Amino acid sequence: MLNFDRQILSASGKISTSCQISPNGELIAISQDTNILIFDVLSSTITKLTTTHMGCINCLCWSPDSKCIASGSEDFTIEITHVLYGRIRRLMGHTAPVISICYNSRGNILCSSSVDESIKEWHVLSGTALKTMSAHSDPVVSIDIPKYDSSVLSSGSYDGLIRIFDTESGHCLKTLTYDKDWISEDGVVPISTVKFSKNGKLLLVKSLDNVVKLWDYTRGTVVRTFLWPYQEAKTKLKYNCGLDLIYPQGSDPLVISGDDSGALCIWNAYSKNLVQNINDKHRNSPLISISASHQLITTLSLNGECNLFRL
Amino acid sequence: MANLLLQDPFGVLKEYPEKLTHTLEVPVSAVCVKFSPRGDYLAVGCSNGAIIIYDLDSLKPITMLGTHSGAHTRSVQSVCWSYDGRYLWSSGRDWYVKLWDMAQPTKCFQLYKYDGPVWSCLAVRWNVCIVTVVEEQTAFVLAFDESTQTLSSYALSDPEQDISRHGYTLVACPHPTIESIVLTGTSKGWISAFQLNLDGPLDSMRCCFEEKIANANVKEIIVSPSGTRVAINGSDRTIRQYQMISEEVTNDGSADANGNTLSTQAPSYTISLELEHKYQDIINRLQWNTIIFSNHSGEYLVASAHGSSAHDLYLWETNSGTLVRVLEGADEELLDIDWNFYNMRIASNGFESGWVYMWSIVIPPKWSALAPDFEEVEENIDYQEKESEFDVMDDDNNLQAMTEAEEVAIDLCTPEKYDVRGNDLSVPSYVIPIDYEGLMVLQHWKDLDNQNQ
Repeated sequence: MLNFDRQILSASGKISTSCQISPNGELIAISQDTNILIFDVLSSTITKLTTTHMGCINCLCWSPDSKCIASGSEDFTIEITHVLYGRIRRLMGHTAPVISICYNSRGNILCSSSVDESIKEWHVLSGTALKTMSAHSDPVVSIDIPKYDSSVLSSGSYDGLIRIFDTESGHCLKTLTYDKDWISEDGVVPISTVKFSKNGKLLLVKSLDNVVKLWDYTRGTVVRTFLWPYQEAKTKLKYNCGLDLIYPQGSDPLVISGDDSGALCIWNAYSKNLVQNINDKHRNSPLISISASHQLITTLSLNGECNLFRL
Repeated sequence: MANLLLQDPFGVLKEYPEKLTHTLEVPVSAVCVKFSPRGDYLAVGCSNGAIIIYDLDSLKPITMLGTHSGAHTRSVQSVCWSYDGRYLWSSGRDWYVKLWDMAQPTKCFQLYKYDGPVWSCLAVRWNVCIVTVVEEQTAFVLAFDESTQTLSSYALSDPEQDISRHGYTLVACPHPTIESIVLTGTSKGWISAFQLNLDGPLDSMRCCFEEKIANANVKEIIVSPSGTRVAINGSDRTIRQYQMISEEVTNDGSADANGNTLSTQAPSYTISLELEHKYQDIINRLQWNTIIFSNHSGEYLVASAHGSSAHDLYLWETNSGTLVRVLEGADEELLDIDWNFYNMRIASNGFESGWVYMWSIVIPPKWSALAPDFEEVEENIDYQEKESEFDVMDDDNNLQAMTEAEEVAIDLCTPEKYDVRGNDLSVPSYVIPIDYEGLMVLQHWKDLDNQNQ
């Protein structure tokens, strides 16, 4: 069960798109227009990091050592900002807004995906692009690399495909689709978020029809489906609305997902039982980002409201 | 690192790399190469004393040990990683052996000076290493004591052993599965095995095997990762391959009666070697520079040949002793070799250019992965429509299959224990921290440069 801890930010009207808990569990980064707010969990203080982005930040990602934050922006660039030293790298090469970024487990490679339909791998130390993977035909909106296995990268795109790439060669290793029914009468169902399990063996996928599925990607089968309670058949979300896995100590992992009315649902990942439904926060503003780590969960809605929950 | 699970299993499970895939153009001539235990990094020791650590994801240098002054002041003779990849031992012709902590690569963690150029250093534990020094009768055990923060060296000798006829100890090799056993080889062809007392006083050791195997210098001793095979490279242009049997002897107290200070709890071992094969270059009678075994019981043996005419690595199948592969691609004589079994790469450095060549397994892209409805076939086949191919599937059946799939037990947390090649994935892999301060300084200099222009 999640317990409400505090509100980190109230609705500000500024554009916030991403909140991320640092890998060491001490800091929370929240994007606000072109700035990054760093919330210190212990002292409850907020510091502001400025970036040189010309457009709004779309996504944030902490480096594994919790020292740097990478931000992908509407202005097609990615910046790596050190919490103490400021900007370290500016990565240019995408030809459309950057939607999703992700570090590998050793923090030497940063991957990014963009509206330009490509995925790029960057060498953090030199700031050069190592390779480009083009295998989608619509914006690639979500990528992820498992914590324990940096050899694979998953991508989800508005073209309805989930692909698994080899991070060394850049080859596509596997494509997951919703069986034969992925082209339904009203078009494909765009993917909004992909998220690997901690051990990198399963892949949690959310699509814009607000259905969350857990894939065994090596075998290509869906092993769990999480349905939103009392949902109309043809829901179409406008935003990705957040998705993450929570690993409580001593009990089954949980799946947390949000919707465009600001409600949150939490399921047991093994039994598919609905554990909790939170709908008294984020008043009528779509959820945009959820991050869970170290028994902490932060949720951010489009109006800038950011809440902290504890297990 | 490449993914193994989703690739073509026949490609992944090839037992040795076949193709030259990467060339690292090391700015100063490389002398020795060593992969980190998990295959994430490559340490390159150079002729000017520098040690460069390459990151194998990007194939770019990630750090240099000891920054501007270099790691050593003369050529680096050997480098060796600790089991977890956190520490690195290095030895040089400047008479020093140094221990580096990758958490602070710019600072030498510990150093020790010998009375001559140091041939080799081989880690037994992260803080214990076996050293061989030019023109020294014995090898040495160099150990770092954490309580006193000092390095101390002990001669690797047994008072009961008569070593006057053995010559100088040139090479050593720790036993891969029994960490207290070390094999040494001398200038007169003697092979000895010593048993160390790693958890007690380090200066008490025991010789548990000695044999003269040839009338020539022993240039190198290697043991297969399973500890069952030994190969000895001699200066008589021959590689001798032995079956090694290491047997544990139960201590019944009689060992103590011999004045042996080994504690009764520590098991003692006897070693025996049985000749399996000899490898020689029959045509050119070339010397062999370096040899290395493949994984597990060492089913393959790789060697580089001496001389400007030899440009390849030779790979033998050790059960039959037949040459099965010549690794081509480098246009020069090759010196040191290292083989990592996690990334299945062989690295070797060239004598003339000083570059590092890497051979890997190349797995061709699987184009059908892009479209799951398609299947790759070797040649065109006449397609036969299946009886049920276009039948309308019964919704109930479909639903049942899907519900069944959703009832299997799943696990989101436990990581895999072994990779598909059988490598232990629980071996720790130390991540060398990114030097942000150094990056900022570089950036600052660049900015100043731009302002001046």
